[in-house]
Amino acid sequence: MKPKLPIHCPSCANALTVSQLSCGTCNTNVSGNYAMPVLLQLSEDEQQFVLEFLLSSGSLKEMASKMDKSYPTVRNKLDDMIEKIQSLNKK
Amino acid sequence: MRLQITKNWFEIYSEKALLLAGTIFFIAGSLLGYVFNARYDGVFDVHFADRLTLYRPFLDNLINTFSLFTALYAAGRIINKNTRMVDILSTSLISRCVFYVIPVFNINGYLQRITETLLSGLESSRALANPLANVPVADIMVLFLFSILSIGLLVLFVVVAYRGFKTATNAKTVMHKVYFALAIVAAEVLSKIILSIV
Repeated sequence: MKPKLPIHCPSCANALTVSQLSCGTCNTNVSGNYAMPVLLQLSEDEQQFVLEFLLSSGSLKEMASKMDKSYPTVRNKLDDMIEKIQSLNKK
Repeated sequence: MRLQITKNWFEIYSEKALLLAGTIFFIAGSLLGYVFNARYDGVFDVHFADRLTLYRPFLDNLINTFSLFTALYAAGRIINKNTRMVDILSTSLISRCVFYVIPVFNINGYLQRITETLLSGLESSRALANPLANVPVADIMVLFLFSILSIGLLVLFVVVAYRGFKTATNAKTVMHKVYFALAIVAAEVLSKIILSIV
């Protein structure tokens, strides 16, 4: 089972930040205080949607066909995600 | 658990499929109107008339669909400037389908006869004490059931129209719902005005 990267604190539900990264080859650890990239702050479904959008070369029509949804439904989801990303960027 | 009366077809089917289905229902509904002498004299109005010409129900439906489309598109553009005409057109065509079953109740002019009998009974001064005296009980029951069905169809029309509108415009807030309601009312007024001229 592939573990999911948590983006919110399980105790207080606030946004998590990156404090340590490690190298799997030489065991080097890097510590600091880094904000979670915006894309990683999206849910798994939303990240998958973004990937699909790129793989479809930005064609919502193609995405709608792949997802078995109508074009306006896919466009609405894109609009909602744009709004969410814009609000995350403002924070 | 919420009971879903219908699926939201506007989220599933392509605009081409919806337009095709809406057009087929438009033609079928207009033909039913001609056969059973029903006039679609408003966006959510159906009345029975005497002998109709073939073109009349088609013209009525065209005007009603145009009125509904115009009002919903105007409201849609206010909410979301990316609202597409094709999505609003399919909403207008599909939502009106619910009214196309009503003419069937007028087989052999049955419902029209009941209505006329009831109205003539109400007009008669002797019948004021009991306006339903001349109307058979069975007919009253049929009229009552038809009224319940009509209200149900009206509710279904609003549900289907709102689902299509919501999908086309990404409507979310209470204000968007108000715009939708105002658009429906405006569509009815517009259709009445145009139908009175034509």
